[in-house]
Amino acid sequence: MPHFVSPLTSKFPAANTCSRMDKSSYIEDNLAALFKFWSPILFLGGAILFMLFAGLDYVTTPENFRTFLAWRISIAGGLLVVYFITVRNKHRGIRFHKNLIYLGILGASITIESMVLRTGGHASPYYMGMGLIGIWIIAFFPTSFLFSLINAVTVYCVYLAPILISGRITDTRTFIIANTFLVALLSSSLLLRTINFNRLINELSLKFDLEEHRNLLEQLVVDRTERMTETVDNLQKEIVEREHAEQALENASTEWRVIFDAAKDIIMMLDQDFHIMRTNKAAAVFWNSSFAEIIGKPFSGLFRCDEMNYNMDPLSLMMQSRKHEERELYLADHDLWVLASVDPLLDNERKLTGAVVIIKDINDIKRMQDSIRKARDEWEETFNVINDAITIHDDKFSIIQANKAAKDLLRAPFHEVEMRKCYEAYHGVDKPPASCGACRTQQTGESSVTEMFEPHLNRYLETKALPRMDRQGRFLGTVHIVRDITDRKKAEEEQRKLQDELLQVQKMDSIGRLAGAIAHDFNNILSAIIGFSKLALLKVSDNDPVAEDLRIISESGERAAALTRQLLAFSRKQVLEMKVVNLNTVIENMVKMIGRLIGAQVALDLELHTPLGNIVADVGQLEQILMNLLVNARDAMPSGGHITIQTAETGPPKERDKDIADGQFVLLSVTDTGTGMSPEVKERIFEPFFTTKGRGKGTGLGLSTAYGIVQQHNGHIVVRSEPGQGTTFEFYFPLVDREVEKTVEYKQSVLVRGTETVLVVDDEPTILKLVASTLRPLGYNLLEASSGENAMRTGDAYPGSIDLLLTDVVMPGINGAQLADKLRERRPGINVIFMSGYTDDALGRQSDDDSSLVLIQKPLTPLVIAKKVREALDRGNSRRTTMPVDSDHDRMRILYADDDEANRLLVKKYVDSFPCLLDLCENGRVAVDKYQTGEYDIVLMDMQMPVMDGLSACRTIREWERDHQTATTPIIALTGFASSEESRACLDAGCTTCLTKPISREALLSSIGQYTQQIKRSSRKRQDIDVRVDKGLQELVPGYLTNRRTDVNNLRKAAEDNDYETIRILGHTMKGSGGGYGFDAVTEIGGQLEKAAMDHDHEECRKMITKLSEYLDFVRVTYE
Amino acid sequence: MAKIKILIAEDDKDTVELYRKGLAEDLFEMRFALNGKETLDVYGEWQPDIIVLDIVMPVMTGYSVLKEIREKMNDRTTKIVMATSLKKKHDIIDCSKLGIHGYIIKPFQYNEIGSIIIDYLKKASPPQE
Repeated sequence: MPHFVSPLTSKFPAANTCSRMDKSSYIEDNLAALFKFWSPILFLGGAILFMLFAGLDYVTTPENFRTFLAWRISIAGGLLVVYFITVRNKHRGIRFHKNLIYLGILGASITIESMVLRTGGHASPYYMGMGLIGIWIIAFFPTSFLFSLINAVTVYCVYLAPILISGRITDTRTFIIANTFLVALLSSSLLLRTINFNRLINELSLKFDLEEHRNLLEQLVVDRTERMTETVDNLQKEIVEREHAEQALENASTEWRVIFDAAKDIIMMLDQDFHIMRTNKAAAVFWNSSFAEIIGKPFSGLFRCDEMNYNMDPLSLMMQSRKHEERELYLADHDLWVLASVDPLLDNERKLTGAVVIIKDINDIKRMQDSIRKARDEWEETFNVINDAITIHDDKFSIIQANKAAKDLLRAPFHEVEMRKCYEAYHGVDKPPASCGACRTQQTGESSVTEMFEPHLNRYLETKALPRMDRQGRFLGTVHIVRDITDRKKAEEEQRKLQDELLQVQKMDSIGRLAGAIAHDFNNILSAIIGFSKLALLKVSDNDPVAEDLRIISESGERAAALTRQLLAFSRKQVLEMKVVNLNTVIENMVKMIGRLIGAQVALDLELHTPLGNIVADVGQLEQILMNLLVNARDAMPSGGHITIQTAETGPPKERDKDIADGQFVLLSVTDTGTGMSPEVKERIFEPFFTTKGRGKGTGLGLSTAYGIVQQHNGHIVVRSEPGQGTTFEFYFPLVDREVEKTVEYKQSVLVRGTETVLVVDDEPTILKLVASTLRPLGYNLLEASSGENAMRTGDAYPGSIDLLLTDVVMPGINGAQLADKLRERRPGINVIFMSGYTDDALGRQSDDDSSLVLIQKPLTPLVIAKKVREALDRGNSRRTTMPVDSDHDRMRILYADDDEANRLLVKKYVDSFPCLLDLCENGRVAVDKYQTGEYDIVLMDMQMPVMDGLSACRTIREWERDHQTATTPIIALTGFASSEESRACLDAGCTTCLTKPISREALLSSIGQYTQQIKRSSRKRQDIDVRVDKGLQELVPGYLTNRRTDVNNLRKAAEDNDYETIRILGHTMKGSGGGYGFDAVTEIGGQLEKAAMDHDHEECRKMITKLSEYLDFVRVTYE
Repeated sequence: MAKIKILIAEDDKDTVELYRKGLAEDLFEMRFALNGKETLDVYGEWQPDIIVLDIVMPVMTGYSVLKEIREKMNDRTTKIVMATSLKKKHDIIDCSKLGIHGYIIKPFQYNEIGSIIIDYLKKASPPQE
């Protein structure tokens, strides 16, 4: 687009770049371009002009033509050269071009001037040439005023200067005209130039502005076009995207539908009225209906009303709460548990517009929950049913679970046990005790078993503690299995006590044996010492110096004897001489001695109750008790005090043991005001060898002796004592309703005389000698024997009557008791006195008020011997007349065996009014002999007898009966012990029944009556064996007997094969069952068989088998 | 009241009949074992209140059964009554050391056996709290 007004400048190249320039540089650049455009044209035109003016020369100055031509050619050539230089160097700066112009003007001017000078100088017409140059240069060149001025001046100067220098101005007028024209010409050109230049500048300026605006416009157009293009692109892109989105939406809709239908849960959308708007396939399947049937239905119409009751209905709940609700429902029609959850659909104002209901099948979950609950319940039931207490602990000692037994044990409901520390609950302490193994398990994780007494619970507990580990083996805590072993511990404790008691008994027993063994010999020796010293004393006068020595010997002997007696009493081996006595009398007789014993410092008060009932006692032993007590009382009161002895009649002691019988007692109490006893001492006072006295002062036997004596008298002791309060001992003796026997009392100091014959037996010669030395001088006829056998011979050989047997009890060979029995057989009515240091089984210890049994306790003194002999003889004479002999065959015949004559007399009295014959004997052996020879209807058998005891006698009798196949005679056992064990033993031995002593008349007579009524005396040898069996066993007995018959066959076979083991077993079995069925004989035979089999006694076995067989053949059972 | 569970070890069938007769059925729930081995089996599965052990039995004696129960199984609470016809005190004493609650001497009267066993049960019961 052309931007120059001038057609000449239209091609000007700088035009396009002007927009980036400022205005001045734009003008400058355009001026320079114009300048460079015009300068070559001017140089070329000048050269042409120079040549053209050669013609003028030819006309005016032909003479200078030639010269001028040459000049003209050279300058034209020079101008042409400059022209080329200019064309060639267009790109060079403006100054370069201006300098070339200067050079051209200078060359042209000088050439013209030269012509001027040749043609007349100042008058030459050639000055016009100079003017032409000026116009050419100034008018045509688009230059600044300054440049044009310099050029004008230069041209003028080049004209004027040489003229002036030559100085020959001849024609002044011409000169002036020439100069004036020239200057005017130059000035006009200059003015033109200036105006022109300014116009050019303005034009360029406008042109620049125009250019500028055009550029701006162009730029605007470009920008807008770009924006438009961009908008169009975006629009296109959006269209594509929307297409994609629409596609995706369509896909999503399909997917959603698929998912909705694929859901297993029933999903329903309900409208405002809870009608079903939309639902999924699961609903259609569940209700087995098409969508069309379901949609539009009310939601509640899908369920039975009982399935959707008000409380359970999540829809109702949601209506109230306006939020998500869910409930488990049981759909009975489908037998299905479901979880129905409802979410409200709310609009912007929170108004309910519908609901979404999801119904989920939770049957499996329910079933799982049920089985878990069931498993848990089972576990808990099991846990709770266990007898042992079980507690589960965490690793911090806290109980986290406890079973019922544990709660019972800890006496707390679970919430009190839970989270308690185990040591609090079990031990009642606030930190784990070091002794508790379970607590150690808690700390170390090693299982343990601990037995501990918990005072807190008052129980013995056996605690098994086991660590609990998880699967990684980390310690979680412990389980405690706690067993209450209190009962076991108590039982063990009791057993230990029993053991202790047993030990005590054994101890006493061995002491007793020792004492007995010593006493026997000791008393013989002491008899000699005391006896002979006493005899010697009788022979010397009191004044004799020997008398005093003899007294000392005698007294020392008596002290030794007292000690021996003490030892025997303590070991309960002493011979008791039981008599009916009155305690008051005993005490009164002792007063004098008591006074000596306790000394003057202690006052004695007697508070004796009169009248006082009698007791059966050994006076010596009673004295012994009192002595021992008084010595203790005295020692408890070193600085004096009071001793009170009281007697009274009373009931049983308040602190009665279980074995104290009811009834009346005589009380003897001894009270001191001494130091008293601590409970610890009180507990041990009856232990042998326990003493609080200093060494050598007490033997520790006093009270244990007293205790032993009281026991032997069936009495009881009660001790009351407090430290500092004195001590009271109370003794209770059973009261008896009998009179004190009047005995002929001889004055102690007089030796009574007699003339009767006395047989003295002792294996100790000194005793024989002592007795002989005592009695012979008194007038008695004395027979002596050193042993039982000798005595028998002497007795047999002596023709006269023997009035009295005075015999030692313990002797080698025939002992005293046996000797007495034998002599009584041969010489009925003979009186017997036993001499004994102590008693063993040869003489019944339990001699109860046996007036015929006279005892002299060793050691013997002449006084006692004389007195006892006299007493015995006197009593025997009075009694002999009352021995009844009756032989009435119609009367019932009773055999009574008892070693105790008192009992024999008692029973005799009891049956006096009864029509019977009573046969008495002293021991089992005699009883058996009598039974076998005589015929008795009933046997009364004491169980404790010398020679042969009642049990053995019974067995022997039963054996004999079987051997002789006679009917069993009832045997009534009389025992002193009321234990069931004892009575069972009696029955086992074959006794019919068992009575416990003391026996009342009524009991005895009714028993005799009961068991003899059924006896037919004439049937002693009959074949049938009558057995009475309890009716309750009626159905069992025939089978039992059949089994025994089978046994007989088996036994026979076993006996043939010598198969003793089988016999033993069968025998043992029969032994165990026979009596139970009422067949005592079977038990008996069974026992015999067992024994025979063990002994491999073939003969006996056969015998017993036959016996069994016969028994079975003849047995006749009656049921009652 | 629950019945008393009694296990009776007895090898003789006739004696078993006597027990059956003597122990009232409304008071006792009875089981019988014919030998020691069987006794232990029944004991293991039944937990009786009281056991009557015949000392002399085949296979395993009553004493061994007692020892097994008291020592090996460490049961010291089940009541045990020994039945014996030996009448040998030391047998009973040996048993006592292992812990028994009583003994029955054979032959026994069938109408007494119930009260004997009840006596032993009562005696052995711990004091009521």
